[in-house]
Amino acid sequence: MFKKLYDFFSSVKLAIFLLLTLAITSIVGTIIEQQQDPEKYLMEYGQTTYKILKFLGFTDVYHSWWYKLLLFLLAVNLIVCSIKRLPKIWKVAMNPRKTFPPGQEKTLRVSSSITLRAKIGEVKEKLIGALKARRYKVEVSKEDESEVHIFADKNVYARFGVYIVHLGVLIVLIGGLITAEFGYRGYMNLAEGTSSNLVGSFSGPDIVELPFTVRCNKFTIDFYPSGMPKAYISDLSVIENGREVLRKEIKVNDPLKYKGVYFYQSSYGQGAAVLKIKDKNSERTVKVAFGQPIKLAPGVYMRIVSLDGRTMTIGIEYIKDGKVQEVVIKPFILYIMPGTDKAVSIVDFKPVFYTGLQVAKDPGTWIVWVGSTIMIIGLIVAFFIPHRRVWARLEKRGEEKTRLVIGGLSSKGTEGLAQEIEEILGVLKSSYCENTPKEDEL
Amino acid sequence: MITSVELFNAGMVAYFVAFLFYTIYTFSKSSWASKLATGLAWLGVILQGAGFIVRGLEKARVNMVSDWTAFYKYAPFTNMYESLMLFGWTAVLLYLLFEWKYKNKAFGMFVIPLALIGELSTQILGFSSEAQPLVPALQSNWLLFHVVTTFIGYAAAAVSAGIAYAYFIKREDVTEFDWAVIFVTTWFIFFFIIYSAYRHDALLYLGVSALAAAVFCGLLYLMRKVGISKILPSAETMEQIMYQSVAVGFVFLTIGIILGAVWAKYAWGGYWSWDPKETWSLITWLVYAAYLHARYIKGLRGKPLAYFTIVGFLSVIFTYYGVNLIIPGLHSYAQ
Repeated sequence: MFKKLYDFFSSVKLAIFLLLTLAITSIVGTIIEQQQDPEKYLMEYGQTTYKILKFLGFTDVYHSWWYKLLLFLLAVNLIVCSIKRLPKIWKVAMNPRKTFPPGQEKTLRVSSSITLRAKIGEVKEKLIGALKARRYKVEVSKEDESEVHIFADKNVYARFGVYIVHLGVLIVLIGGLITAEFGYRGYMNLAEGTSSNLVGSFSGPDIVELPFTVRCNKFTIDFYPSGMPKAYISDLSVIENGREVLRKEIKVNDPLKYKGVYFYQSSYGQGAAVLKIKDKNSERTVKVAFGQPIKLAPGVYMRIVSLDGRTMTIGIEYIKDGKVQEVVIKPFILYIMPGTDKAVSIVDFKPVFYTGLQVAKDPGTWIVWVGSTIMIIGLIVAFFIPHRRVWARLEKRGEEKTRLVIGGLSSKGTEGLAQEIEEILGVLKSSYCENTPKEDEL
Repeated sequence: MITSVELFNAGMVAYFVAFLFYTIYTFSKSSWASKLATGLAWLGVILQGAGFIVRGLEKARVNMVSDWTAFYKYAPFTNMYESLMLFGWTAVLLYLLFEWKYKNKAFGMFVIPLALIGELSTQILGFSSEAQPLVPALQSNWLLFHVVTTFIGYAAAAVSAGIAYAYFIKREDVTEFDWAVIFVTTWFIFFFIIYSAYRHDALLYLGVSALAAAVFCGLLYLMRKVGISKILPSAETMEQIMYQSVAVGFVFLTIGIILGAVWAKYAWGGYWSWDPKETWSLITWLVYAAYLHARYIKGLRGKPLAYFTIVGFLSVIFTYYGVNLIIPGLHSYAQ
């Protein structure tokens, strides 16, 4: 049973199946719009189809249980496959047969022989020198009066390129998991001169409270002469314990970072309201941009979701304990917010610009970068660096003559290796040049 | 002063003449035709390479920058026209490098027209060739590296697909089923390219592209009949070159996706947003990853691997044309 499971998870066929299944199911998420409001789906697909899509997870493919399961299986496949194959590869790579008995050259992809007019010891030194010059690790595996065997190899690590890639993929998957579990992405809409520490979520009622406040000092748009926008710039300040601790102008592609939280220039808009928030003993007026949450009490927030400048009417979302309720607030009327001792009324409407910031905290990012780097290194090693081995046998043919048989194997393409062996023979020939290669067949 | 568009066009003319000489060489084996073909292809690459430099200067002008940062910040690869030029240019350059490495000119006849069709499609499909100023989202140091690596990946995919088609000319045991697969994949390759430009009357363009694919398959069939297979290298060599090309493509595609993720982190707030372009690049990546594993399974060697290569290229085409123009998303700068 265990053996069967082990074989199943270590198979390459499973890897191909999983990769292709992931590819095909990923297509679904690019055809059906993801993570939209139920109303939108109902309008587009109707009740029944929507129910089916929802049941299958097609409205949020990449977060559905089966997509995660596929990724999980891929990770298991990767690990089991590597565990199964690594020891074998290790053995092959690290403990090759190092001697070179006669006849062995026939099993090699590249081989050649030559008889040289020199002492066996001289040829040996020259050959070792030539191999070392080509960055080979050289070992004399057998040596006696009449015969010397030499084994040399280089880039033995290239055998492990594939596993480096797999390790990288695994680390990227772990990073992705950490992002999904511990990261968040949301938005802040800040009108010039306003500040907040509340981050709204793009979909749903979640609101994150930052341990510091961000203020928008100024928002500008630069234009090209043609009227096309050239740059969106927000001048932001970070305020912690009542003090400005950081100030930066952010642009698209140039965010602000503070305590692991990034603030990106992502949009802008127009419209802010001045609200009066009153409780038993005090009242305050706040200017707040469209969409930006305000805190009323612990766990209770509100945000403006529609503005009508003509009638001075605003629609708000009232969020309590993760539940959303929509309320319309008309001018001059004080609305008591249920579950709090606060009352809200609208004072003024201002058509000012606000900057739309995307706010993200993502502890998985660095892990993904590490995994990606490992993956790229692994790919380059796996595809472009050949593990080459060379065997050579020197045979004594009388006092002044030595026959050299040399051959090799390469893990990728033999042209490069053949050329190297050709060069090495060239070096030897130029030193002991009286013989032509033809002669040695005798 | 000479404009970038003129240089790009001159390059296309050079490619076309090179294609003619590659064809003459393939049939006549004459050495002067072979030398002229390679020389002209290199000339095209040089002309278009100069085209990119001039384009960079033009873009600096419309973006009102005068220092050297203009070259990487406003890199000339930011709309359909420019990126298709980059695609064709990279494909020819990559082909020439393969030609030089493998000392084999048999594929010029297949790869050069692929690049040329890509570049010519800017005129047929009516993409504007004007140098435009850059929207804020694209003003990044990452732009150059992300786009260039991705396009080397795309071009390698095109080269491998070109070889895969030639492979079906070489193989003697091509069945009706094989022809059907080749036809359908080619049909969709054409369809995505054509439809992305018009985005209406899907049925009409489905018909037009079916016709184009039929003509294409007819040409392949004709080439088999006239015995081109004799001039092609052995099936094993072709499999090897196909693999090499996919390997290059896969490495660059991976680097391109990762650089895209880095850029996304600084521009959009997260390294991965499941934007359609991202997702489709992942799909392409998965298809090629499956190809690389399929090599280890005996039953999948040979023709199935060639299918994989063509399907991978289909996925590239969709990532490039389809997503830019059919599915809207964060990457839809080119509309």
